[in-house]
Amino acid sequence: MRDLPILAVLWVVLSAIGEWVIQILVDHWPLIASAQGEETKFAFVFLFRVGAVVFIGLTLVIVYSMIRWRVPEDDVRDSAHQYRSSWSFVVPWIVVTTLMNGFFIIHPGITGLANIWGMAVAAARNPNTIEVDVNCKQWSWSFDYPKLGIFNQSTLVLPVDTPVKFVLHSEDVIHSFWVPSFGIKKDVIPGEERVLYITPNKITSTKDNLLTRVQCAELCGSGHSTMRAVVQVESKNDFQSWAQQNGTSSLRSAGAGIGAG
Amino acid sequence: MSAHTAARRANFFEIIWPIARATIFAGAGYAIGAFGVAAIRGGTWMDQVSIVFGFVIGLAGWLLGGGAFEAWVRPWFGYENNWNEGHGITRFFRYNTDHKVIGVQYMWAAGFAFLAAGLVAMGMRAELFTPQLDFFTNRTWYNTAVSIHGSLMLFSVSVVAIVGGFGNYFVPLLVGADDMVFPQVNGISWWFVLPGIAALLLSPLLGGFETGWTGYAPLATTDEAGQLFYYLGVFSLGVSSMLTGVNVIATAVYMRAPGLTWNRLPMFVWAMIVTSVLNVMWVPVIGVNMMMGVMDRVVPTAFFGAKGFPLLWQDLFWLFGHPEVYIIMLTAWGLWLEIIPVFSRKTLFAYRWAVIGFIVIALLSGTVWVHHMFTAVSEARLIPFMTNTEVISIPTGFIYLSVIGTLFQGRIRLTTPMLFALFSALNFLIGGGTGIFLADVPSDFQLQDTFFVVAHFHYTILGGMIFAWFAGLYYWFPKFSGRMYNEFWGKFSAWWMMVFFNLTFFTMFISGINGMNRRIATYLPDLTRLNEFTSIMGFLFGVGFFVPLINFLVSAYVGRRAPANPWGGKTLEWATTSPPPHENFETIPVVREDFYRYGDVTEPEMGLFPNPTLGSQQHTTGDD
Repeated sequence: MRDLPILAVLWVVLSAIGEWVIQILVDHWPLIASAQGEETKFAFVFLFRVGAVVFIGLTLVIVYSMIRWRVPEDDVRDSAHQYRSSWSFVVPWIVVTTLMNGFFIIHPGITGLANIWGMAVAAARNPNTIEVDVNCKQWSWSFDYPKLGIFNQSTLVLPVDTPVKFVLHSEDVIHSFWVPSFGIKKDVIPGEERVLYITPNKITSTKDNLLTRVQCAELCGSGHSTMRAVVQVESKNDFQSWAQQNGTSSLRSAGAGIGAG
Repeated sequence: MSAHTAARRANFFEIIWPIARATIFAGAGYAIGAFGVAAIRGGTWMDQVSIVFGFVIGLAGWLLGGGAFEAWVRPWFGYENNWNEGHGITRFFRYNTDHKVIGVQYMWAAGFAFLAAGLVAMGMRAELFTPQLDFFTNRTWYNTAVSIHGSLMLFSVSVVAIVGGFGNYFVPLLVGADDMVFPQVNGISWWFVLPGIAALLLSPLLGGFETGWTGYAPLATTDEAGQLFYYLGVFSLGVSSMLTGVNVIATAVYMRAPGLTWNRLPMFVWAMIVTSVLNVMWVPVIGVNMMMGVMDRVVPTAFFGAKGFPLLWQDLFWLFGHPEVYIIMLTAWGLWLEIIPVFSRKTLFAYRWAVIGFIVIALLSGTVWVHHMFTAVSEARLIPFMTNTEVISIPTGFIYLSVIGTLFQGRIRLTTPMLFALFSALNFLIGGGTGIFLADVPSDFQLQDTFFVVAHFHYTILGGMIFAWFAGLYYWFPKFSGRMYNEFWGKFSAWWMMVFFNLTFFTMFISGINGMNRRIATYLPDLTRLNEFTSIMGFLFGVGFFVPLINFLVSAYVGRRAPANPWGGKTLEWATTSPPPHENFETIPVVREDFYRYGDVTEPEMGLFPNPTLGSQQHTTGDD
């Protein structure tokens, strides 16, 4: 029985090649520009690395069998090796798959969630957290910064390295608030208020990278594919001056409107 | 396609008239319903209420016209059933109670829906060839195309092709019975399929529907009236699935041949029983959901609207929708485990573990549905459903345990059915493996509603189930047509489909990771190259389906006559002629040993688990 050692060697070699390819892919990964996105990317890459070894092993056995034990199609003799089951194969199989499952549920499943929730809890306590009301309807986005006195913005402007609390509202149907480079999304249900905390951690904008855009991710009708908005993640100083300009002017114009009325 | 064709050639009118009569009755019923309701309550025949009544009475007309009047209604009133069930090819286009005929009816209906929905997919790929809108005149029609493609493929191909087609044809043969338990119910069940397909295909007449096959509210409540045809069509298809489910369970329980004990039951029958239990349990849920959707539009209630509970639709839909994935895949797994031992000349490995896998999957299948909604539900629901979803991969692994244990040291004949079965197993490995990324909540937060998901479920349903369907079509073609298909073109189609399927859909994983979301008619130019590649590969993949189509059609008439048992299989369908006579077996067969025993293998002890001593290596016969 030389097949098992051959398979083992092939498995190791192919897995090593697979991991090397995955490393190259990870090095060229699409932009991820938020702390939460790094969590979700970490979970993906972890599952990718471990899953690849399992996938390569199973594919290898099937393809190896197809080549190694192939006989002409008119040869209908029975195989000399007949067994109904084998504890030495079944037991390790069940033990390994069960352990792997338990492991995956805990890590990166529960640990990833715990990290994302932990960031949300910290951001909720953090006085510097920016609050953005996201209002979506068929088929447009608008952003309010109630604490900064900025309303009805069509561009989402955010400071880097500052937690943002997105409060999500929908006027009509279900939409989904997604900035691909932030690596996380949340569906917006009409009649409900959903909250999503994101901490952008790279200066980027739609102009630099198309992944940094607000994109509706839940089919919402004929305008769904173009339901996008421009995103600008700026340095804290740039954001401050942007907020001062827009905030004051909006408040002033709002006040002027009241006065005129 | 039949042993009876020799008697007399059917003319075109004989073939077409039952369906033509059914169509006329359906049209008349529709007119009575729509105009009648319009006359009584005011309004027009294009009102939503009129459409619903038109459909329901039209459906009744369709059933009556197809033969139910003679075969069902007349006996109710004491008259004899004077329906002529036809002969030769005419049987496949009229009400018929022979399970083999009904099986072929399901197969051609599913095949027709598959080609139609595939053609729609070609249109979608043509649209996505460029970032701008150019193939469809507007985005609404693109979304309608997405919806029709998905609804047809899921509700009238995936859950119909193997369950209705092979289930009807082969479950009685595999258990050594002469027919299903309820032949009349079986006869009528197929007649619910075509109205469902027709409703979905004709929905553009009412403006189409934009919600995709998932029909999410509240978009669905504000959508065009075509949404009604989605609700009603899916309901009609569901009725067919439930009737077939009841029949399959009853047949497998009560019609088994003497000696066919539960631990000798063929794997495909196991798969069909478990699938049918899931059908009977969960299809009513989607039926209720569809009716609530209809009520939201015509009463109008407010179950799912923005003032109701939009997520209730999703919960009910996926409460059915995820078991449906197993309704689809169990049939494919049953086929793998049926085909692989025959072409490995090797005893099926770990039969009982595979059966346990089927049953545990069925038990868990109703506990995982929220993983479709991770980005929409409250945090409290995430971890339990992530856990259940990941745990279901353990029993799924038992099927691979069985596949690999059977292949290992076999004598493998790579005929067309075997190639398709193994390709299906390889594709499903990618489909199931990428499912882990979607079961894991953190990575799903990014991947949900992207092309990663599209690629994932095409790998399971198209790469897994449809490939297994083709494996079964080639495997059993000699049995149900009585002739052999062309082996060269069979293998050619297997390799063609495998190569271009993977080139088409693997690219979609990459588009998804690169920020391409689902169900979009236009996209940003950074994804142009990937989509051009996907589209070209998709067109080549699509063209490849004409090879099996022509192969089957030509071989059914001019292929070499098939012997009773061309593959050396041991299950009971190979013990009768190809094609089987009307009563299936000349005498009821008696089963003396199990069907997966090859070579010199010791009999197992009776009991739930395989005996460890049976792994021993003593052989007295063989080739080494």
